[in-house]
This record gives sequence, C-alpha cells and structure tokens, in this order.
Amino acid sequence: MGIFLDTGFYFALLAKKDINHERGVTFLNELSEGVYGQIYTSDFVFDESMTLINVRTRGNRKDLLERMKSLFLGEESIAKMITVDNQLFDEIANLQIKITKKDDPISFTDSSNIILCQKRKIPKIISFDNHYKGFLIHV
Amino acid sequence: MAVVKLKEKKELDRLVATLNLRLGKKVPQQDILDACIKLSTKHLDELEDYFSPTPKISKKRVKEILEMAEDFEYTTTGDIDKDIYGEK
Repeated sequence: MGIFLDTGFYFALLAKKDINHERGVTFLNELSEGVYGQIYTSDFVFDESMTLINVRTRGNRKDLLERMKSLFLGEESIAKMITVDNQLFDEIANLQIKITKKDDPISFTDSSNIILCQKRKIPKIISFDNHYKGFLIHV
Repeated sequence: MAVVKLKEKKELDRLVATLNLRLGKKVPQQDILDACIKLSTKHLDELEDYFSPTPKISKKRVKEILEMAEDFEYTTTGDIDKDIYGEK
C-alpha cells in the first residue's frame, strides 16, 4: 500500500483559489491519518512544484517558494522523496513516446511518475490531471 | 570473518524450519542467510522503505500547512503542464 503525490496536489494545498484546494485539504487530513500508507513523491515533482509557483506568480512570491520548499524538504516534509535514477531515463522516455497523443502530449515528469509507481509498486496517485488513467488509481 | 549478531534468532529458526518443510530437504542456515542477502539486493527499494518509512504527518504539522495556504493571485491557463511547459 502506498500513494504518490503529484504537483497539482502541492499547489492546491497552498492556493486557496485553486479549484482543488478543498480536496487537497481533505487528502492532507487523510494522509496524516495513515489512510493510504506510505506517502511518496519525487525530485521531479519537487522541481515542477517550485517552477509552477514561480511561473503562476510571475516570480513575485519568494515567500511561497519557501513554503513550497518546506512541504518537500526537511524532517516535516509530507512525503518521502524518491530520486529519479538516471538508469530509468530510457524507460521513462520510451513510455513518454508510447503514450503521447497528438494534441495531448505528456511531460517527462508525468511519465516518470508512472514508471516510479510501477517500480515501487505504488498503486495510487493524488493528481488532478488525466494522464494516469490506465496506469494508476486516482483517489 | 566478522561476527554478526542476530537480534531475532528465533525468527531465523522459524524461517529455516518453514523453508525446509516446504522444500522437503534441509538447507543449511548459512545458505539461507546468503540467499536473503542476495534477494535483498534485488529489492533495495523495499529494504530502503523498511529502514526509512514515511514519517507521520502530525496534527500540528497539518495545522501549520493549512495556515500556509493563502488566497493569493496567480495567472493560469487552468492546466499545470501548459503553465510550466507552454501551450500544447
């Protein structure tokens, strides 16, 4: 049993205006109660989350970057961060090539999330996008 | 040869007994321990999780995180990938 946290979850937690904010809060409470078992994320998701805050606030909110950082790093991080091993790059790229559709490209990071979950036998993901259908269980 | 102490000798005895019963032959304890080490190296992720489980999120930490949330203004296309990587 285990669950993987994607970029959208982290952003939704910090942004009250995000349409998924309330869902994010509910998930956080459930995660703290141990409902989903081991909690994982990755260094690529950390990268995306920091970049997303910066892009969406146009670089005007360094304080939010600090808050986002604190969700990933240190003793009180929400999830265990998996480092994407470069030995997986070939497999990740092959999946990205395989499932990319015209007008619906998937990012290398999203592809890496699928491969990491498969390797670690993590069945579920908290994500607010549809790229994981057929690969992982959205909760 | 270095001496390694076993904290749970009874557990090892049980493992040896169960395996021998299943195999219908006696496998030396040393061989079983060697196999355990070989198998563990093939399951490093699980071994890592065993020794480093996800820390629990305390109620205090949940409260702190919720207090970090803010009603800040931001621009978005409504799609994370589009915002980060540009138009699809």
